[in-house]
Amino acid sequence: MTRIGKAWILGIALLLILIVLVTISLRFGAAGADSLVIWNIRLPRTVAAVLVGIGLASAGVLLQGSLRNPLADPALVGVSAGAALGAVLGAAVGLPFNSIWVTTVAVLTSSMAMAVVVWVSRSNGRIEVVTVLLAGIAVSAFGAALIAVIASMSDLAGVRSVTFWTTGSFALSNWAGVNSMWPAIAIGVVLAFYLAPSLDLMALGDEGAYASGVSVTRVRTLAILAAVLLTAAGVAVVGVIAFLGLVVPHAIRLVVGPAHRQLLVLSALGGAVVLLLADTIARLALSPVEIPIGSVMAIIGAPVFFVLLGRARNRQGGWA
Amino acid sequence: MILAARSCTVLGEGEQLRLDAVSVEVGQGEIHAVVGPNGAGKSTLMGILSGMQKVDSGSVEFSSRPIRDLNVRELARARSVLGQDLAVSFGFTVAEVVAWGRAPWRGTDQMKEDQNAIEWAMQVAHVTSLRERRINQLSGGERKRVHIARVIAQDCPLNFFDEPDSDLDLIGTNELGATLRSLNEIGRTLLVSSHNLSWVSALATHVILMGDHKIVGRGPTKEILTTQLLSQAYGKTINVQWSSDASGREIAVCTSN
Repeated sequence: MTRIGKAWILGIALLLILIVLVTISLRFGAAGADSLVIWNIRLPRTVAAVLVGIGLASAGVLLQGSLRNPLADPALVGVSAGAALGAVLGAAVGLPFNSIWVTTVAVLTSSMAMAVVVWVSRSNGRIEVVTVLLAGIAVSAFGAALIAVIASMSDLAGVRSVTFWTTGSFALSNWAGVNSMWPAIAIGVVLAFYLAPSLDLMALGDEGAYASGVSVTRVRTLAILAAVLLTAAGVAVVGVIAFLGLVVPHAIRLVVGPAHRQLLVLSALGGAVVLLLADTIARLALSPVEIPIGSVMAIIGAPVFFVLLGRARNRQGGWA
Repeated sequence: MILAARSCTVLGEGEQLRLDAVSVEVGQGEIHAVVGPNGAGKSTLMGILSGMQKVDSGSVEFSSRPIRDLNVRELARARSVLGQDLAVSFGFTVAEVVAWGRAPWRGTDQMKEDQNAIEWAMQVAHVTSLRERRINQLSGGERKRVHIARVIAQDCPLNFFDEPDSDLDLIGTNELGATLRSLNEIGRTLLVSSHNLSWVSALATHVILMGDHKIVGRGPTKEILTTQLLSQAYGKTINVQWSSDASGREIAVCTSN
């Protein structure tokens, strides 16, 4: 079967699964299923999971394509930690959580974190695969440390503990949270589609892409900006969720190949499906106790990362 | 004159110049070989002529238009470049990679030529049968042919090939020569850098001979591939003997002792 044929079938299948998951997510929970619980608690939480899933998976596609790095994930390269720090900073200066203002601060700090990572990783006009990840670790550690400092200096962060930011949770996702994230995610998705054809050519490397008519710096900057919008908006409300942006695009590539138009649509759908599934498991598996959503994703994602790491290293002939 | 460079200089680290006041003229339909020892400035020259690299002084013109006035898209419609870094990230298929050659024409009238250009390019570069394969599963020689098809599909009057014969075996090199001649027959102007003096002697109409970041000689192939000029460029005696190959083309056998 052609890749386009597979893409249609996969797309329809993911959409059907998503509808089923949404129904399950709304129907079941710790409390009874009266309309108030569904409307005020389960529906915004479900919508948040879908939006964050779309955001993180699309951000993974954008980072992997624009950095030519199969290992890039918003949380592994420091975008997420930058956003979490911004959200905590915003709250510390008195901005209300789940507001568009906190999202704005998160987008700004996340952009700065990404600027540092890219700047550190540049070498002879290339952005090195491993250095991006190492810089991401440093930026994430720095961000987590500042969050801990701010949290211990004030109780402005309230119910959002340091653990909330590092493992992620949809427990505090209400309608205000949904409203604070969808505009940035919508802009990010539109930007991603506009960039998709150029991202294909970026696979040739900077010189090859430039020779083929791509403004490499412009495309990379816009792609990273879109990834920041898609990530930061979610992180400001639900904290850091790692590996989704890595696992989903990789799985989709295995089925329909790496061309970015299909990859983006299907990864966005796949991200929504996987994250909603993970949240439903997190909520229901040990009900009424919740497993942190970030832990559920890490249990699935970390082994996949190891496989990809080994493969990337082999392709580059080892990293001494 | 489809391509002209006037006293182009590229600065390097410290005092060393990477190109020292180099001038080049290329006429429509010619095949120019850029040759010279390692570090003589061949890649830098190819870089500035193709607009991949900026000059610190001097100017480069495509059909009398300064290339600094062309944006990246216009540049990609005027010239194609086969570079030396041919790694492709992710598992794109051969058909997808060759189709990228058409990217500069997106949104123009030329889009109706897309399918023809792609088919012809794949045929001339002998990759039609590899169409559905993934490029990162091919051998080095096959992968190179795919990229050659990609730059052919780009459909530019001016085509740059930077050491296209590196890592090809004897048969592959001969086939590459045939591919480049078919391109030239439909009117494309070619610039080919190479270390294989015999191969370019049978292919090129003109030679640009580099030595020590300057041009040692440029002109019709037979006037430049001489014992005197080559020895001067390489700093070592190189003997040149002309004979004919199997198809009757004149070919220079160059030896050094």
